[in-house]
Amino acid sequence: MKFPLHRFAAALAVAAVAALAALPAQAAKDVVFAVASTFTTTDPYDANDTLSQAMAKSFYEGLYGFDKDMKMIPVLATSYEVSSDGLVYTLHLRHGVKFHDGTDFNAEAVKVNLDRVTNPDNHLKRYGLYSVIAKTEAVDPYTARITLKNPFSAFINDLAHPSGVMISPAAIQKYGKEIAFHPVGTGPFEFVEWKQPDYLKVKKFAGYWQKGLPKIDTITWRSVVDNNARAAMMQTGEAQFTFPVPYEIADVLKKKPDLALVAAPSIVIRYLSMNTQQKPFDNVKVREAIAYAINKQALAKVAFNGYAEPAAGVVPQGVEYAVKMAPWPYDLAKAKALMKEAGYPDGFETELWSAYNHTTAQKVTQFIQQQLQQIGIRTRITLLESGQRVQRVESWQDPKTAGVRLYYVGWSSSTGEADWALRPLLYGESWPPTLFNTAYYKSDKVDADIKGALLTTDSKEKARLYKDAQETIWHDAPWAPLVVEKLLSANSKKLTGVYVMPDASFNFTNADLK
Amino acid sequence: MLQYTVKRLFGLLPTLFLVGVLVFLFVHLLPGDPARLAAGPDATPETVALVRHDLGLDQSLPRQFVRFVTGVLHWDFGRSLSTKRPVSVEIGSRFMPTFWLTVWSMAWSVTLGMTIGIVSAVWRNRWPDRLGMTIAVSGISFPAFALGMVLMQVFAVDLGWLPTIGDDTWLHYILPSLTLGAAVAAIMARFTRSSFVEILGDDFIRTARAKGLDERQVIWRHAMRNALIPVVTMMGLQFGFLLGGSIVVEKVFNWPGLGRLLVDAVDMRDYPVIQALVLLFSLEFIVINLVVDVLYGFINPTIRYR
Amino acid sequence: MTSPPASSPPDALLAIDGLCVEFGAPDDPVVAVRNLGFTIARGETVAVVGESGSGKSVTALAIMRLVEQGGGRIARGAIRFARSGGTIDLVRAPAATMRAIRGDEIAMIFQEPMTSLNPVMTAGAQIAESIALHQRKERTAARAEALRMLEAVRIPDARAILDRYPHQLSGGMRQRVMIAMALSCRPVLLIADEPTTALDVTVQARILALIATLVREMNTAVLFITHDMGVVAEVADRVVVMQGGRKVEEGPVTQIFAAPREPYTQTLLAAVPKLGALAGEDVPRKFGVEATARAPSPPASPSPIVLAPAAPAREDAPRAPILRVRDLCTRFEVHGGFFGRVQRRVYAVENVSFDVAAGETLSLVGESGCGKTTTGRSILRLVDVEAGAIEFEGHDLATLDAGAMRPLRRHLQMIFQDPFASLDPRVTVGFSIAEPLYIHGVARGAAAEARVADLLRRVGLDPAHARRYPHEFSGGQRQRIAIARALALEPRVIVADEAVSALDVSIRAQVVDLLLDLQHTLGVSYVFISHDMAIVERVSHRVAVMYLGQIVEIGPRRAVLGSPQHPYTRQLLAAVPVADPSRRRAQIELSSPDIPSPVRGVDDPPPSAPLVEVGPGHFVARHRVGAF
Repeated sequence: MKFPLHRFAAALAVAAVAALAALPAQAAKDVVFAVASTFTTTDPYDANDTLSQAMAKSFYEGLYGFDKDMKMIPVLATSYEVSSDGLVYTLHLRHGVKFHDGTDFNAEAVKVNLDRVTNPDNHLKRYGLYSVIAKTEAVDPYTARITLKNPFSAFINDLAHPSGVMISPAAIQKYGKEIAFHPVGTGPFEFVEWKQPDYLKVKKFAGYWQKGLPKIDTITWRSVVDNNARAAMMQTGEAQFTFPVPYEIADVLKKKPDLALVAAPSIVIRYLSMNTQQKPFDNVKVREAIAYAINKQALAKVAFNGYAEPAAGVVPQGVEYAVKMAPWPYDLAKAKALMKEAGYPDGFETELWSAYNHTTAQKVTQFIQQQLQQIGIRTRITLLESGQRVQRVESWQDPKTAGVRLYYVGWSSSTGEADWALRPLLYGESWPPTLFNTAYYKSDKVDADIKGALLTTDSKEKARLYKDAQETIWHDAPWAPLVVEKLLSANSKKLTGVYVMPDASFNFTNADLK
Repeated sequence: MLQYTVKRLFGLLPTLFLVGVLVFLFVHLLPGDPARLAAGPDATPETVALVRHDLGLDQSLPRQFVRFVTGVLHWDFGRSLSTKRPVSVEIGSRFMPTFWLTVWSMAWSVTLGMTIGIVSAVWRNRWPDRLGMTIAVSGISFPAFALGMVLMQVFAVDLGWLPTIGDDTWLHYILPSLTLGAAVAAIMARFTRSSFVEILGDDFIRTARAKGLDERQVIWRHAMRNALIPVVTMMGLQFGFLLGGSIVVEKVFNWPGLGRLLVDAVDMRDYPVIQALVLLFSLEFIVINLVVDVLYGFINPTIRYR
Repeated sequence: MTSPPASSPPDALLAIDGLCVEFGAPDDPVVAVRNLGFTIARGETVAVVGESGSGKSVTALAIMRLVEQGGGRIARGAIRFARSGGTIDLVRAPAATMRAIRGDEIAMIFQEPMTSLNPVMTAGAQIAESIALHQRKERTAARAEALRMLEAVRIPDARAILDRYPHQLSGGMRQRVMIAMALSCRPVLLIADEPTTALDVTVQARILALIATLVREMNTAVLFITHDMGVVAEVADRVVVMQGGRKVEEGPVTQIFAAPREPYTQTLLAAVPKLGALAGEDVPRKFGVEATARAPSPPASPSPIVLAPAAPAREDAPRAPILRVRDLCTRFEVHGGFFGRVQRRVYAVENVSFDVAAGETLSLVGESGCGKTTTGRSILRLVDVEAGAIEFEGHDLATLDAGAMRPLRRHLQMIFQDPFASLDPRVTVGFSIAEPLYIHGVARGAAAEARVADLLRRVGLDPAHARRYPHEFSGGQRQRIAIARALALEPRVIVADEAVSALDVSIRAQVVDLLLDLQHTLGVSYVFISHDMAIVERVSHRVAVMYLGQIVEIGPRRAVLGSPQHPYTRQLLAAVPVADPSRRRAQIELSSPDIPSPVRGVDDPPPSAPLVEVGPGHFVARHRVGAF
């Protein structure tokens, strides 16, 4: 029994007095981050959720990374060269970096980590991201050479992805499969304990390579599922930072003088995909009509409490090679005219599915339903539960029989560049069940652009190809782009240097508590 | 009595087996591919296949069942699909918080509920009765999540007397156990009242009064034990209900318990965890029923177990 | 001290004067007792007699001041009680004083020994509680005193009984425990509210004798409340007759029985079946003229029944049996042990054989647990039969399956003891009566309605009553409804299981008369199951006495009751109270045990042997059965 009975009884008697004494004593540099879900693992290579990876940045760092504005920066690497055929990457590593267990960080460590993830026998969930690697060699202690199976121009972005971290080779050797319970990295904080499902605690790593950092002593990552409870913790001072803040609670927190509510830009785009292989959505006029019929501005207000902006393009700003376009205008007359031209003056009936079953999704779908009603499209809403979503959409084997029509979903390109923002969603070979092209969109031009961009190492050429792809897509309108979300977080005004990054990851290397 | 208990314990094995079979089938009939869910939103098909193999989901259903049953017989419930930790560890770490929360909720709600019930029965149709039953009705009709949120807002946020979430100190227990126990207290109050009212009308109560006992003795010595007989049954039912049914409260107060585990597991189609949890809940229910039956035997001499 | 009322002798222990008890709302009260007055002298036994609703029990509770707990209140009057320190008025006594008096100076015994004892306290603890309370004795001393009291009430193996719970005791034993509890503080007044009503006759006789003996020893006055004139004749010095909350008549017991002044008293007395009233007659006779003609209808009485002429002696009574029961055995198994194996067996009915002729009544008599009810249920296959044959119209009912049994059921009907429990409270009585017609497809629609009306008329009810619900009827009326339902299919045989036992005496007489009328006009046969010897004498052509699952004596009613041959039959007859205070019984054995249990080992059936014929159609068991 971990909870002493006698203490409970005794304490009850003096409840009133003790209540005051038990108020959380605020040590100077102990910080609590309240986050919305339980961590699945501390091993970023085996994590599929942004949150676990974001938390893992407490103790892990990658060769590359992103700054708070999603700009790629070198971290444990200092620079790289790529061969002209785009197959061989040579990385120069930072000197004088040590893992928490005292092991030196060097090219051998890079090899151990990349070999680990590229070995299918390890069954790591991020295998797919690194399967392009053919081999990794340590040229000298601070130079690593990576050879790819085929040219892949977004490779450095893969290394910057939150999953691509450097784990102490000694720890991997020691713990093997149990490494997730004993994370050892080069990051600013050392792992202390992980009490599933309650919290994970890390403390300052004295030997961190960036001198003077970190400025705080400990971080306690608390998984608090309930929105209301997170808000309450912020108000009582039990937590100094929380993400996400639900829209309905934002106003409450905004009024608190000692709290700061931050709405950060994101790369999370919300869109309505239309199954282009099925009637009537095979008609581009219908698709355009739908895109015209939805008032994106109003949607952002109604469903997102204003914490979103109409999508300005297929790929959100912040993602490398994103092309900014004017948001699709709201024009009901034009929408009606297009419907008439397409041969549906009286509209039609169809399904509207949502990939999520939370309140916001409910509001969004209801709003869309009501908007489409105006051009005669009558929709039946189904909010898919995660299992249903996998079964009915993501794992559906035969495109011909797929039931998906209008599908409300979202995407965030976790590698921060255009390839992962376009290829999984709009590439001709990415139809479910392979990836998530739920519009079943196929354009030879777009396919060629995406393929070409991956092969070239020339940045200008890449930009040209991606621009062409995005404009083609915009024109073909397989989606009605809706909004780009803002990321709402709240922090105590005493806490500085904690940022929510556009990919919903966190940057807290410079965090400090006043 | 001992023989009876042993017999009942053996008797629950077939029940558990049946529950196991049903739960296995049911869980595997849930829509959604757990490998896809576990692999994550941007996984490639190869990754999904890798994960599927890793989780043993590429085997045929009968084979998976055999593996499941063999595992259970060796007290091995497999590993969680999402965290990869052994299911026994997952459940083990979360059992005690739920257990203690339930026990404390039960303790205060039964004490208070029975007190209100007895007071209401003794002064029935007078103001203490009306007050007690009004409280009871509100207790039943007020949903737990709303009560939890209100309590947290008032006592944690506005007054700052109590912590919001977690289970670190005894103070953390107060709000969740209040929330969890409110409905039980209300049910117990109403049930105790009706049980007492019935007993107070019985002939032997008249006999006790005819002996010259005062009302207090009549209630404590003669009515109490008799009225307890149905109340204990109800208590057992409620206890089982609380153990399994604290899902809402655990979410509101972020309690690191079984309820949240179950919700997460269903969300992630974490088959081994769901199976083990349902088996555990069934076992709990059976054991509680057994305890109630045995307790019953102590309270009620007319029951003799064989 | 206030002067005692003129009517009470100066040495009165208790004097009730102008007592009014009301229930319900004060502005619209239901008056249960009106202006009642009588006295009880020290050591005297006063019987208050009356039918249900007469206010006799309310009076008892008013004396104890327990009527308030039941929702009633004493509106007016005084109850003066002579204590050692002087006379006080119990109506105005403070609660603390009442508690001191209750259980110590005035004690009470209630009707239902099962429900009147706390089921979760041992007998010893319940007795000791009174002693500890009033005599301030320590636990062990109180327990010793309790043991002494149990011995005083002649409980065999009293030490073991101390630690038994009520459910482990027989009805007679429980009532002895109640008596021990009531008398434990040697009260000056004992109120006994129908203390023997729920008991078998032999047990009743012993309990009555026991009370009489103990109160004589302790010089305790007794207020004896009963509806049974036989019991009154047995115990009382003086009698108070109550009706509708009022005192109708009061007087010494001999005077009340010999020369009742009031018509109501006369009715009560006439309605009491006196065993031996039909001595020398072969066939049943209705209460008819003697009961109903002399008396006005009692308040709860239904519309008067159609009086057919008393059945003439039918010398040509048909001899051909319509129902033949041969070697009937019905046993129940007691499961137990680790694997739920059969450990014990209840030999409820053992080798029972009898015939019932058309238009004949065979009574099965005996005490609780003798197997008479099980026999009746076996005939209708309401329980599974172990062995034997039940021949009816060429079928052996014992071997028929449920499907084959169904068409025969319309010829075999049953009337149960509790008419309220056997009528569905949620449907009209008309529907209840018509239901068998629908089930057997005999009639529907208007035809069924007409039949229901006819049946209601036949049992002496208004056809318009068909639209009412059971709770709107009195007990007697409900039993008539149950009879009408049993008659709906014009059955050949009716099994009447204690069909009149729960009814007040005057109602009981009417229902018995109705049954006899119906037999006369319809030729139906009855298997009449009863523990009441006097009623049995009234209705039967033949009588079978059952004891421990066997018939110990069977024969023509006149022979069995007139010249009983089996010792058990004799004991049973001797125990029947005689409604004649001049014929009080001699001393009876106070401590003889109740009926032994029919539960025995699995392969240990009780010995049984063919009965021996001792007269024409009169057979007696000569082998050993139980204690005989």
